Amino acid sequence: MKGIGYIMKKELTRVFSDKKLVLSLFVFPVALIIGMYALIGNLTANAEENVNAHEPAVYIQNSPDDFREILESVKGAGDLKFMDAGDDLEVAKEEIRQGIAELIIVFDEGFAEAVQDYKTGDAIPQIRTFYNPSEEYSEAARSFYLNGIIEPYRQTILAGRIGDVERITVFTIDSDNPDMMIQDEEKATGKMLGSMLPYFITLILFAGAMNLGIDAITGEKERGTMASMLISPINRSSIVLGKVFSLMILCGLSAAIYVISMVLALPHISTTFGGGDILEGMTIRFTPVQIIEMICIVVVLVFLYVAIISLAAVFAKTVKEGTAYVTPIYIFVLGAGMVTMFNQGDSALYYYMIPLYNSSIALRDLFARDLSLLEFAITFISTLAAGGILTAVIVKAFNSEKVMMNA
Amino acid sequence: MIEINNLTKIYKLSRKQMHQVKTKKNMTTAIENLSLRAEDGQIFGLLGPNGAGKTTALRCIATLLKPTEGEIRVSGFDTVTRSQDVRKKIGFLTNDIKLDPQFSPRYLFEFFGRLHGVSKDEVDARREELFEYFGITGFQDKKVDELSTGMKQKAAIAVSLVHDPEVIIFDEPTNGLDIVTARSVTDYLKMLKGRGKLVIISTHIMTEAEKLCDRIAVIIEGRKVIEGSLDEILESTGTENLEEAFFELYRQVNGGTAQ
Repeated sequence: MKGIGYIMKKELTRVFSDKKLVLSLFVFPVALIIGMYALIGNLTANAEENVNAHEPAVYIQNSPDDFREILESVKGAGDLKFMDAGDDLEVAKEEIRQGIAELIIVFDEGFAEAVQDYKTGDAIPQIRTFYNPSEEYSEAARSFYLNGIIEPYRQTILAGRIGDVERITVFTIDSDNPDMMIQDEEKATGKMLGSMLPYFITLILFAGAMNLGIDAITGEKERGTMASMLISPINRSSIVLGKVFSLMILCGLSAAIYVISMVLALPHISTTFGGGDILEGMTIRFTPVQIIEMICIVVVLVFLYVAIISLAAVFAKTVKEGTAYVTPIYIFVLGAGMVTMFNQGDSALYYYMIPLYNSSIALRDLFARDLSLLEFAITFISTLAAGGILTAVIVKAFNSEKVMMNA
Repeated sequence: MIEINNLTKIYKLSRKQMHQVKTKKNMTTAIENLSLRAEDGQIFGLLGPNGAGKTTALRCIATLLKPTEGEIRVSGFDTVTRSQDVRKKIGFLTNDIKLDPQFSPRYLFEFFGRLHGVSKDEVDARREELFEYFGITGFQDKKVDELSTGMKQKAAIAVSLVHDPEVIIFDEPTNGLDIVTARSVTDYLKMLKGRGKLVIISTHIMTEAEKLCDRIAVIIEGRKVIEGSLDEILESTGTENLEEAFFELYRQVNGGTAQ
């Protein structure tokens, strides 16, 4: 068993004595992800600003005089084109379709009189709008007009007709009840975190393990350096475990660096570039038990990832072939992580027995404070068992001359 | 001591391999019914053309491959049932086993020393002796990647001898070396023999085998066609030198001229 330590030490030395590898493993991915976040935050903020600042082109047919007066006093009403009853709308509609104009508002002919002289039983006067929902400017213009101009206009007319609008309000809902939402704030932010983090953890852990694992096993086979270890008098299982444990340390380290830098960098990014809503109240406290559970799950998960990748790497003859074997597994693992982003319901107990998937839902539940001890135990044991079985298969493969010597 | 009794090694071919060597048979016999015995204090040569099965035989001795039939004993240990004991006794070097280019010869020497359970002091003493002999000392802290071909080979030889093995198995030890370096390697092998070690090498260089080997086994197409000292082989083939003897044997196997 001494051999495990020697092999681990050599594997770790190999990585840490290679500056390029250290950069590509620990620095670049973090810089890349943070850079991407900054970029996305920046672009989203810009796009939002852009839509808000845009002056819409609006066609209005048969506008009542008082509506026209209101429009002229509203800031941001846009470029207004008033049309008479006989004017053809087709040109305006084509402009909407092509995204040149944003909105058409059509009042019924004689709208003002119809409103004025309304008697019970008359047809209710109508305002029709035309817009293009696939154009953000058009959508925003319609929403601005409906909520900001037409609705207040209706309220004004209503007040004129009824006198006291409050009489027909009957009752309000939550007009002076700021405390309407009763929830555990930590659980709510945890839920948000829980839906995102397993995905990112998976991404970083697997990507790191993938490159390193293929290099440490297939690479050594291909370079002819593996055989020199196979003829030394240590157990094949020591070689396998030495490699698996050192890969686990490296992947765990790269994931830890990633998570820490995310936590440190994200609030800064969000305040600089806006889009702070996502991270609102992202402070989350864990109990010691939860921290221990989380560490246990991540450790066995890394073990399983490394075992899966090592298994593929052992059977591959070249690094290229190894990458080809691992890529579909990577996509599957990402899929399992992604499921947790959309599937928020309670999961049946047997789901916690499915390796890979169970770690994702367990992490999600852990962040949302929903993970029971039983669910945790099932996840932990089944992941550990799956990793153990795969490791046993790898040891067997290391003893096979067909696999190791390509004989 | 190495004893090989009726060793046969058959490889199963994958479809791809069958296609590559253009055969419809899914088996290929690399070695057929090979028996030999090499004693301590000897340099034993396996002589044969490329593809004759020399490397396969050496890999079987080194426990990297398992015999399909027959058995091999190294220092009394069976290579299949006692492979770990065999690996303690042997130093093995072939062209397709390489030193990790990321590390320095010094690091690898110490690493393999630890794997073989050699004490720190002994590793240091062995390193000084071997590195000095092969002229590696000045390069011992450079990465293997940065060394010349000859220096890499010499470093690989030194590393394979870290644990002072009883049995030294070298597959074409002078392949790719210039004559000065090649001579230093063959001289070292003679010195090992002088210390009572068993050295078994494979080669296709006749002059090397003539000068170096106490006993020679000629292997053609997986079968041993003759075994003996140089004089015995020349006498039995009625030839003047090993090259002529080899072609005479080759002719006998192939039933024609060796062209």
